[in-house]
Amino acid sequence: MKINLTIDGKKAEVDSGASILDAARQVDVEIPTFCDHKDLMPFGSCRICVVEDDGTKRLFASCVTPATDGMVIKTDTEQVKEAREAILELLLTYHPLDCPVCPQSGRCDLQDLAFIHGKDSGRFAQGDAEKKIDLDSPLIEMNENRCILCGRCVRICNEVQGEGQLDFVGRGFPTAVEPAFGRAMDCEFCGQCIQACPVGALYSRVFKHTTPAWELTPVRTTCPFCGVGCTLNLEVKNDRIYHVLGADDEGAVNNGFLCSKGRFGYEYVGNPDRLKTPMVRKGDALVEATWEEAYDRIVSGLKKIREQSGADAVGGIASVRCTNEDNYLFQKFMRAALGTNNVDSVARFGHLQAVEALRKAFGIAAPTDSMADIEKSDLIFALDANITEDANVLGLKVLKRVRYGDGKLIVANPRKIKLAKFADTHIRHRPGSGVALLSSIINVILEEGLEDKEFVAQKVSGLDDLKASVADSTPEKMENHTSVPADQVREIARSIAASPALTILLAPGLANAYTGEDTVCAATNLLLITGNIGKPGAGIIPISEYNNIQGSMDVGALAEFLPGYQAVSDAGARRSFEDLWKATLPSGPGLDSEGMIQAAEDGKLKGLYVMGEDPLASFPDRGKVSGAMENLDLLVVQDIFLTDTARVADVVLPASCGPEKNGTFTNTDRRVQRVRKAINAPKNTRDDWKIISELGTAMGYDMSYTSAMDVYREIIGVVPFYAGILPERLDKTGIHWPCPEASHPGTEVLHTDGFPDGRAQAGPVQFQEPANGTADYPYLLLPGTLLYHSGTTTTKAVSLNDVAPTAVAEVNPEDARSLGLTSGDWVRLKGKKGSIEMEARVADRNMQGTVFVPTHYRDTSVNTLLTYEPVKEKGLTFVSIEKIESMAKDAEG
Amino acid sequence: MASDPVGQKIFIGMGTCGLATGAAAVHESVQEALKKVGRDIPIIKTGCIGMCSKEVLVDIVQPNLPRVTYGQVQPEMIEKIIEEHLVGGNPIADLAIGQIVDEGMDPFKEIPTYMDLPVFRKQKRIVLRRCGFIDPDSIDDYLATGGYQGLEKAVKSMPPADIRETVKESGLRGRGGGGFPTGLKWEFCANADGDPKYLICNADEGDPGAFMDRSILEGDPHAVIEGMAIASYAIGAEYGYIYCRAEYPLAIQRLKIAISQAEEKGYLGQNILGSDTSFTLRIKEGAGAFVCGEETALMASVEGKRGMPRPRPPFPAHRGLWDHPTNINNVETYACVPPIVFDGAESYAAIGTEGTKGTKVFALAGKINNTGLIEVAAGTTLGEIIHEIGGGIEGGREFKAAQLGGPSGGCLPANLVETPIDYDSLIEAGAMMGSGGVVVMDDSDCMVDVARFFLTFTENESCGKCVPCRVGTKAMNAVLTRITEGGGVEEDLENLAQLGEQIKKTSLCGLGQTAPNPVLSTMRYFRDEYEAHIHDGKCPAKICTALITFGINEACTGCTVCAKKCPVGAITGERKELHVIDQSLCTKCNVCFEVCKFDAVVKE
Repeated sequence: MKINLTIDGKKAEVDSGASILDAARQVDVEIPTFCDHKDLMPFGSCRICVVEDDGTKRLFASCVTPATDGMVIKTDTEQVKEAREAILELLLTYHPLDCPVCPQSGRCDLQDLAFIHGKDSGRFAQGDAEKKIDLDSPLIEMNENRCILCGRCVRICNEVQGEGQLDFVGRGFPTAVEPAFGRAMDCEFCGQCIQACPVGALYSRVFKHTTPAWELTPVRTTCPFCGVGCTLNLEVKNDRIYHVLGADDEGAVNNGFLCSKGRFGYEYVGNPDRLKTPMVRKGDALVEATWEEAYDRIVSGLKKIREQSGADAVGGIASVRCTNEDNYLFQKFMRAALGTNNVDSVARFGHLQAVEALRKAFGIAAPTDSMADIEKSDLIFALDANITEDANVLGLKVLKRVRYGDGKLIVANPRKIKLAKFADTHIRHRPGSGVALLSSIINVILEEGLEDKEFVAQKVSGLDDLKASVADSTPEKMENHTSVPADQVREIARSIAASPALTILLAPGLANAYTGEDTVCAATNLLLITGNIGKPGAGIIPISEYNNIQGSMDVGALAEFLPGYQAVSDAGARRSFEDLWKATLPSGPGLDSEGMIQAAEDGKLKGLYVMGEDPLASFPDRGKVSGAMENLDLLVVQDIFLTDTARVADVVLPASCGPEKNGTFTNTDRRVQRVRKAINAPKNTRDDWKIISELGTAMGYDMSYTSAMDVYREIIGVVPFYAGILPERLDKTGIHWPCPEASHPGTEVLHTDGFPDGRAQAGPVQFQEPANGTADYPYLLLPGTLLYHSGTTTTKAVSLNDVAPTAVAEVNPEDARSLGLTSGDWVRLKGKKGSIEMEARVADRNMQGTVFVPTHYRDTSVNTLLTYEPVKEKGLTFVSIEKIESMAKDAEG
Repeated sequence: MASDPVGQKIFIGMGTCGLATGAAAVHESVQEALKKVGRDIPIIKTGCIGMCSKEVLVDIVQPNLPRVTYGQVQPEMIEKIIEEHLVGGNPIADLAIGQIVDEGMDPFKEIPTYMDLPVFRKQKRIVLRRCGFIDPDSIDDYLATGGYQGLEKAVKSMPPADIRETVKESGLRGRGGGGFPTGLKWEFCANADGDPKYLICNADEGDPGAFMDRSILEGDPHAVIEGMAIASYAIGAEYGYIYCRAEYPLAIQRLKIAISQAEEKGYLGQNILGSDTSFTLRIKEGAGAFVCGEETALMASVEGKRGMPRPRPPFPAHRGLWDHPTNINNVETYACVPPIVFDGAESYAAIGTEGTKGTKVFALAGKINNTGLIEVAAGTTLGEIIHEIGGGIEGGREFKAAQLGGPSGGCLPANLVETPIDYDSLIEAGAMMGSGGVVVMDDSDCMVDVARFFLTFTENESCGKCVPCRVGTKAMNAVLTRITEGGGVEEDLENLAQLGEQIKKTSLCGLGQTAPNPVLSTMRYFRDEYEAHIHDGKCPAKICTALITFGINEACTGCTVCAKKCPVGAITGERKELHVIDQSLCTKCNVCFEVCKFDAVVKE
């Protein structure tokens, strides 16, 4: 039903249930607000938004008063003006007028309104609220004296973030917003509260007293950390980032929300450890060099290897962090300038396998659904994915759908993750038994005839094979592997079958090594038999841990694919690239990431060029990687810090980082987004694409480009599904590929018009019994990411390290008892490949028999323990846990 | 043991007021005394009959003889009462304060009947009719006095819509203070979409000086339960909560007993009295926030959230507890329901005034002789309540003003004693019915200080959510405090009036919307007192310590008591000689004034 009303003489028409404030905004009548927030439920506390009902002459708070038909509202009467001024006067009576030192000064709603009203004093004596200033919390500081108790922070922390860290404490005038019992904040440090605060009560501790807010210039760009690709406004001045806000317009993916990394992780950019000059190895030492010297060393080294051992004796590791342009030129350099397909990235260890499963099933190697589309999902199935930590802002979309929408949530995760608290069902299956779980669900659906028969008949091939492969996977039989009660599986299977729109979320990657291609394959089968592909609110999103995994693969930084997933083995594709690139391209299959390490170990690979990656820290089996590196004749590392791999390199090239360059990222839901240069890079560094193009040219292959966006124009010419994403279309928003032409809006949900091959392919589910620990190595290692860090990059952000400074192993209380461990003890985790030492914490998030270790920390490299087998064969890594004397004590001793 | 005359009983007032004045010890003495005389007769622990100032009350009931009430009973008086009255048959006229003479009985001599007592003569007791006359822990007592007949009539012979119609016709308006027509409220909830529906009894009585609801719950808990059961049937609400503040332990205890008795007898629970209506009733204890008496804050509190009001609409009838349709009434409103349903709307509507039907319970407190509970027909004047029922002002001083409706209400001055007490007249006079608290002030009370007292209460009890209430009350209080300390300036009165109006207009809930009333009404009726503080630096009532000095005049006999009692040693003087106060040491604590038997200490 529509409601018609008049506001200041303007006619407004709104939906039933809309507030007077909504209606006023629609007709551009400005009403001041403090407590109102677009993403929060109406609260009605500040009362500044009062308006007058012309009929009754009564005042109403417009934000919480529903518009009614025929209402005549006035916002500019004497009565309204007096009421607003009275509220403003009261707020200012006890609000400290410390604007000169307030971090919000210059963009404070209270200051602005006071400015407009133009009174510098009130009728009532200025008083001191005498409340607390939080000096203990990391990252976020709260000055309760400045707080106007609008409750935005309290509500955003609860309603949006699902944390409830802050609440009102006390009564009457002394009421304050605080964490429970007045303790320091111990939360996700997302800083949503900072951004929501209309005054300077909550602010970034890092930003405070650095520079006046009004001197900052916002630069819109894309967050460089996880695959969500949040839209940021970096606030900069004089080549320094001071502050970060989430963009909250329609073109942003994140509604203004950010996680701790996005909001505080920028500090890595200004870290003094940044590489500032090229370096070349002289004997045992890396010494500073000019760019010319470094290039000479690389060019001569590469040429020598190529001449002596052939182009395939050189390999390149591309970067899942760098832009599409950097990666495109990198693979072009490897293929056209050097003549090898040996180019790959860490996508190999997780995400590639996931999207490969999707390509085999649906024909396109990418997530089928968009993150925004979760809004329409009826059932969200989060399998082995810790979404609120791996992709925090995507987690917020899930929380919103589940808490305030009609969406149900099934969490299948051995760990008690945050999302489990909000789930309708939490399944704690044994780690590594995801395939068994999905098989049993599929078994029930098929056995009970609950599949979407019409969809399957029209659009799916291979159902018989699938049926045969799961015929034996009854919930009762699978219970032995999954530990999930058969009845519960049946119930879940039925609710999945009954849901109109199902979205599956997964987080493949080295950190979740047990979510591999077979898990994703099983998930695609579940979607196919229930008809949950190609419609709104349905599909599958494997979440990428890194910002540009999807993009790096799209542009060809993979051994077997030219840009746009055109196979190197496809002569036709090769020929067209040869025409475009004016070069002869290698036809042989290239070595993938693991293959290159193996070849180096075997002495077959002699040169390795690493761009924006640290294989020693991020590839499995650190020992093996280390040996491989030592074998190389030439190791080139191009990065922003002196990484472990850079330390053993022959040439180190200093690159610029995300906020210092232009280009594009493609996020986890195929959305191509702009990366914008916000500040100048350190003087002697260069953009990755620029370095590669210069080296290509130096190698005798012309790779001159005028800018990163010049490179991007070439990309959209060779990647068909990027063809319509013209650079100018990316000014205000991102575009989901496929977008074949400039007039195409982009594709949020894939396969709405069917599948590239006509039908989707259900595949047999290859269920393997998960491995068990042995007497020597009884504990299953669960490597994983932390909310506060992204790869190793954010460990270079000083303030984030205040929250999560070191690796801590999480041990189940039962295990801790038998090991005689208490929180704070030191442990040694030992596996077949090596051992690492760290502090332990007793926490019941893990199942008995498992130990969780974060992957971010250089000095506690979890990859020391990992082997290549888990990745390929779905085995799992087992370790022993031994209590040791603390390293600190050793140092003292 | 000698055989006891059948029908002998002893009543002891053991409501909170009785217990506070020593009823437990009296009870013990009664038990001992009975043992001594060898009589084993029932001792009824009854609720408050209303005469709180006369507690402990002990009544002797003998068959076919008037019931005699003894007031201000001490344990040592018991033996005499038992021996002479109960055993000897001779009531002690000196100790008795009244007798209830039923038809056909001969009154005892020299003891006034209840109807002779001004405190009772002008009362009309409907809600309080059982308080002080039954054992609240006995459902049988309740049943014997017509209890649950309203519910029985309702579920057996009246469709729900008829009940709502009856309540509408009775003219009953919410007794919690708002005065919204009860039948209409029920109608809204009954017609709202949503299942289940909830029924809530607001027993979060928190006004200073108000104790009506507590006494009803302590004295006649089944009446409230019956009223709720009828409402649940009339509305279709299957679940109910009584939200009672935890500071009322006796009320909670009695409610618990009453609920389990009612469940046992089939007045609560599934299929009430064999019908297909069901009502499950639970008690939710509040944690002591005044604001939880506001219905939306109350519901938040029941839900386990911070008790903070939210804007209305949506009203509870549409989206209340857990977003379900909910009907909230207060204790007294529910207690009015059984007689309305049983006796019919007309008999109730016959009482009261045009706009306010029926009776209203008031709690009299402050400088009045008969502090306690009364119930009068609406329209009774303030003067009747204070001077007749209330027995006039303590110590024979002059009546100055009465604060009606607690901190949300307003002050009525002595010259408005003819104001009839009903919803509309009181609003017109700048006060409000509120829940029924009447705090009486005499000429020794400073009205600026009184206003400050009530405003301090609301300032402290503001939930802190909205700006006008949270900050506005503090800002007003700061001005009032300054005035009482002699720092008042000309603009203060204008500023107080303006800010007060803004707070009323812009606050989120009733607490803030009424918080300035005590200030605004005292400024309206006692502006001269404010002006005396501001212009002359004087407190006419000699209360505001900053504006007065203590001195000792010629009447001093040199008894030295004041010097001995002065906590700061500010008074000096030889025995039998005029004493002197050292102004530099005096803290104006008023002790010397209080202890001087010769009115020699004076305040200027």
